[in-house]
Amino acid sequence: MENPSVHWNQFDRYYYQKRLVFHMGWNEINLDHYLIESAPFGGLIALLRDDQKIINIKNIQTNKNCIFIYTCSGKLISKLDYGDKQRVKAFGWTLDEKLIIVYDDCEIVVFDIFGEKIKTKCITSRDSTVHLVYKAKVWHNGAVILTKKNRLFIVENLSQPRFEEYSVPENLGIVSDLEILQPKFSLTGHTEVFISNLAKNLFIIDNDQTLEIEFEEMITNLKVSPTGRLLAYYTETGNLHVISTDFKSHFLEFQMNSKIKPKQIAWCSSDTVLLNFEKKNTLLMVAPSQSFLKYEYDEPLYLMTEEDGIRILTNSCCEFLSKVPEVVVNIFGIGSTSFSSLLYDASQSYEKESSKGDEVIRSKMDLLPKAITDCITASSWVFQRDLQKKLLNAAAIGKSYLDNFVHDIFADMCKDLRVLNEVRGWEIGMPLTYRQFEKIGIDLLIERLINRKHHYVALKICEYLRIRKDRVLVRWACEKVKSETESDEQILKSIISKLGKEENVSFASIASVAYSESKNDLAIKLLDYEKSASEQVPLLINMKNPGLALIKAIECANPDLIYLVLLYLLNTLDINENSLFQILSHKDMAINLLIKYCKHKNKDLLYRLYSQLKREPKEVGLLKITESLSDKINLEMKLKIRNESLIAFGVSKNNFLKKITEDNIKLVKLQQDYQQRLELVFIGLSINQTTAKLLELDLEKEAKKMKKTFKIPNDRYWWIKLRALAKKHRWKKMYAWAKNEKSPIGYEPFVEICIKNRVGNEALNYIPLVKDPYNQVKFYLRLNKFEQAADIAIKEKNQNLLQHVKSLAPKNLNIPSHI
Amino acid sequence: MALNLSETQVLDNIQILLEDIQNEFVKICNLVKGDIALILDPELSLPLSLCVDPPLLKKCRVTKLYELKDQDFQTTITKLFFYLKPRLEMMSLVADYIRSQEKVSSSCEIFIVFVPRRSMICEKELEKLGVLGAASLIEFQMDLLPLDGDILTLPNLSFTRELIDNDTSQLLNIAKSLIKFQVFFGKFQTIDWIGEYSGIVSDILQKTITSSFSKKMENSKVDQLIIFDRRVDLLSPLVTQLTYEGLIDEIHGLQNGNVLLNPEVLGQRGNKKIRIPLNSTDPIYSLIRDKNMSTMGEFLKRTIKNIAEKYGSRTSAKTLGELKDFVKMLPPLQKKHHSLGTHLSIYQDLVRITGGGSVLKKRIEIELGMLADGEKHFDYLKELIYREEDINIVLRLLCIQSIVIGGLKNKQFDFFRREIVHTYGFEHVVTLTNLEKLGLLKKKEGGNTFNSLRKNLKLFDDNFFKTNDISLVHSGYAPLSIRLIQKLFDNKNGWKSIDDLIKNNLGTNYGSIELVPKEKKSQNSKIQNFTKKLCLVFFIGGVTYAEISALRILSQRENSNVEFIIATTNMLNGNQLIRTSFPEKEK
Repeated sequence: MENPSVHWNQFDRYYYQKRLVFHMGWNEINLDHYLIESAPFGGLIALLRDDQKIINIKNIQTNKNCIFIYTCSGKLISKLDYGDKQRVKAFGWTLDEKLIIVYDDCEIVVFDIFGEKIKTKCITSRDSTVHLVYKAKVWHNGAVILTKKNRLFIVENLSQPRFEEYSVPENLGIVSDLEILQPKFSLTGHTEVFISNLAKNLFIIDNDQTLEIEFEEMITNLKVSPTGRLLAYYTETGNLHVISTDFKSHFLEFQMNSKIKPKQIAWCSSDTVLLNFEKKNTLLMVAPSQSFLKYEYDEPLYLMTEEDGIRILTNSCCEFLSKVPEVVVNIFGIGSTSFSSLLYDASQSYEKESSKGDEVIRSKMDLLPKAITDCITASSWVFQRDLQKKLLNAAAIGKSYLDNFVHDIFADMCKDLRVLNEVRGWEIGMPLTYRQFEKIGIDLLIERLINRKHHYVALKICEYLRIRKDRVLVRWACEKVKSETESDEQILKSIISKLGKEENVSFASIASVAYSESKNDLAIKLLDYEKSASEQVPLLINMKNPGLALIKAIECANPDLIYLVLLYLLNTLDINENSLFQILSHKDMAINLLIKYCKHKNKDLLYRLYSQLKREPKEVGLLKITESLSDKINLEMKLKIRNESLIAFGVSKNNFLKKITEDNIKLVKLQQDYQQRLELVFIGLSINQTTAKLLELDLEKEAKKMKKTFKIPNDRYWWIKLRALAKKHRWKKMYAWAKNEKSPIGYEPFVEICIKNRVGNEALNYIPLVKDPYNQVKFYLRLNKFEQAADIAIKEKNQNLLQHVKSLAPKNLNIPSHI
Repeated sequence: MALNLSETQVLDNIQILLEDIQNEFVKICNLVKGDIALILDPELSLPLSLCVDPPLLKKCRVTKLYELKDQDFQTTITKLFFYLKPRLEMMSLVADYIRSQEKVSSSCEIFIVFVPRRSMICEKELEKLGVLGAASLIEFQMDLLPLDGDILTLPNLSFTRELIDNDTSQLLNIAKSLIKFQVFFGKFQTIDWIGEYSGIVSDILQKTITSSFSKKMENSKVDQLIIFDRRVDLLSPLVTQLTYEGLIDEIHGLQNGNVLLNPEVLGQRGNKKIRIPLNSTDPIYSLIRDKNMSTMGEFLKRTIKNIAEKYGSRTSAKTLGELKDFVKMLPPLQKKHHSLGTHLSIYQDLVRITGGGSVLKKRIEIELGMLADGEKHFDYLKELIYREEDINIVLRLLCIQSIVIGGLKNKQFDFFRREIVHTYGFEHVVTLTNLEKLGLLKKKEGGNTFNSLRKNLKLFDDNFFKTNDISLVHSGYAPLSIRLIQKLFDNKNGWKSIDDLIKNNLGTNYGSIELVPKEKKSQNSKIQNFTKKLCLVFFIGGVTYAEISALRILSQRENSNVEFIIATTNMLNGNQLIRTSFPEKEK
């Protein structure tokens, strides 16, 4: 086997290798005729016919309005129909290989690779003018649009697209090129836009300011490096410059002395610039040291900057140009004396069953661990499987000399390489380098495979790496339900057999696809396997099955989900109230929530709900009464509503509620009358309070009328009157009343109320009328009338009581100690 | 997040729930730069004060604090955070305010923060009102917060009105708070639930536990969860609480673990009420809070003597070492001394209010008579009404009467309802029907279920002083709720042993779920004899201080091997329960 270093080119202190990755599988594609965008990380290639080029293609009619999507190996994935109403102004890729298209009317659409629209966003302006695109640029998560009227719009996050407008300088003029600095690279965290114009200006525009730089000559091309740190630009007289994107440092000026504008500027390894001269089919590589290297081609080129190199696409093949890493140079470099190189050679001699290798390895055991890791690292860089094997074999042999070498990095590399070799094959055609793979991660790789419908490979990779595979299975199932050839039963059976035992599978998303394919029965059957109600309910509503949706929502006691169904029921015109009530019947949780909602939003429905669904009709009446208590409505309205409640109480034969409400209506009418006559506030008082107020005003006759009208029991009336008189300090009147009529409440209340009002002398009037001698004594003692208290005790012949009185009385009083 | 704690340490670490919520608050404030105005749903002011104090507000650059009410207010601050319960009726107020603010300044950053979780129905309403675009919606998951060393509350969620309206919309939030609790303290091993609401919550918990629990939570710190639906026992909150703590709550009202007292209670002058924090950090309070009022006097005397003796040791201290010991003792001693003074004052005041010849004492006697023997006290009840006593008091006693005799006869039922409406006003028609809905007040139909409950569960025990029975919290009445919980520990078969009583007499349901397989459990529960079992009791719909005291008494019994953490939607007492049944007037 030849030494890999024979393919290296030395250039500016480094070695570079340009390796052939694929022979393209496509036929008769001339890159010259197309606008080309490729997804980073060995991603798909989109070809759009360049309508500025005169071309002669036989099938021009059938492929109108199409973007062709190919793998890097030139295998056609799809022809994406972008519609015939709009023109495509710019396009590009997201990291998970969705195609972003910017149309001439400022609409941005994200497509999946089979032409399904995933997201659409358009600039909406208040005056409904249509903005027309002048220049546009797309990056993996956003887009910049400069309109013909010089307005600049930025969309930063395509998963939740929102237009932001930057102000544009008035002297913008005719634009020669436009480039962006992604928000993740800029200091402000916002997208920066670089615009060069024919007037030799360069504008740097961000969300709150514009910087203008004047140049001596016009800039024709702008290109930011993959790390966002550097900007390369090319001028009309053929000068290539590299500066920092903060415009503080200047790194390179390289004079081409060629007025031919390059078709593309690209970056290789973040510091080396490549120029693609279309007309000469030349690729020129310029290093920071001004040294350069020329590659000649006999066909047109397209350059795709990658993290760690550059992908070169031609009509016939796909190549990858990158710097050879130091570890690889150390192993394979001619005359390398590094220990990793020795280890590699030693492992080769092992193969030949020679013992020379053993001696070499034992000679420098301290360098061995580093040499092993170097071999492992080197294996990650090479693409040829046999070379990978040899390097890993060298590492394995080295490892066997050590007891404590961490096995994991070796094992992980073996696994990762197996995965990478799989996707690097022609069939999948994704020439991911190991570094790129580290960068995008396994999740995104799986996502890309699923997007391309390589479900089986994706599944096998998940199983091989022992990572979650539910996502793959669900997406597979979503494709499965679309099957035209199989019956619903067959589809369900094969889905359940594969997914039934998996955890975390979203059956709702599969069901949703089934529904959109108009396979309703299948959708409902699939939904039965869904564990999460919050997934089931919205879909069931979509499927116009609110009854089942409501049952599922109640099962998980989630008020939001219940409301979701209820609002659907209320807002859907073709559901009449009867079927609403039918769906709701016996679902108390939902009924109570609807009641809560209606109390605020829909009073009319509330009453109908009550009469239809609540078992007791008196509830309607009570609801009315509650409503009538509101401070917001006037008296007339209150009476009206209370009168309505009487009907409900009548129907429910609830005599108590009926009577008490009638009493209230009567009371309010009386109060209105008093209020008018006496010009005092009565409304709002209870029956007791009203009676008391009348008594306080000395309107005994009116009070008596109250008593009669509302059948106030005599004892309650006495209490009311007693308090009213005390409040007005009408002690004489009180005494006269007590003497003339016999109190039904005893005389203790009289004594108490006098004591409370600090009229002890008045209290003394009533103590003799108190029946219970103990109470008499108690009252006398409270008023410090010890002699009277003693008299009672003596009269009652109660020695203990007397003793008690004596013990409390002052010593100077002559209280007898015996009866 | 799961902590590596032993059971007893859990109690010491429930403060971590507070820290977590405070961090959440800081995170929300840090969404913007510069000064912030908070605009609060009035119902959130008090709950929020449990976790957000003035220093924290200052740290978060909150310079203005408003309550969202009918009237308009304007501020020059451009970063506005509306903290809202997801109440539909509040949305139009918010919308009005946002619109008026937009006229003033267009560069406002507005956040609507739903507590504890977003609600679709409110978002739809905001959308309808056309302000959804102007504000960002986020949620502030204010879940279980420590109210005291062993008490957690869901402060934003007063779950009492829901009992009447049969409103289940908060149950999911309750379940989520319990899920969050498990994230910190590990999975519950068993759940025992009683009552319909508890059943729903337990159901949700079981579903989530089986589906999405991380390995970290495997290590259970809390052995058992008991979920108690307040509707199973609405009687106990009505009974006057007679522990020291309970009585303070009855007379003065405890709020967030604080009491506001008139200065004269503490022997001070002035008009401004004095705020006294009452919790387990007060060394004296934690000793006396659960004591029955009648044994407190003796206890306080002993403590005074004890402190006096310790102070006395100064004179007897001779060597330098003894003096040093004395000085070391001083700060805690002084703290005790000070606290003792406060509690003596409060105690004396309570004695005055409840002492011989007082109205309250008479009422308590009547109440206990009803509970002990089902005595009928209609004349007394009538007199209370005729004297126009506080309606809360009247209704509490009337409801107790109704329950213990299995409902009022037709004539009495109508009579009392009429007298109450005539005396206290027409709106109480609604109050009375609400009490009926809760089953607190009813017409006599069928037999008296309370008698057999009292007999089988020993709801009345005169001998509480000797036996140190939980009935001491009400001077004889043992709260039904806690008796039921006690059954789980006293009887091997737990609630199954009183299946008939629960299903027929209480008319409710119960259940028990093992979440950790038996084999694993024995592995987990290390040295069972040494560590007490830890049990979280969650009350849906509130719990009284007396009930909490009863639980503490249970865990302090000689043969007890259980320690309780109490969690509740809200604290509750009889007056609050009665007030809940008042009509909700539309303002």
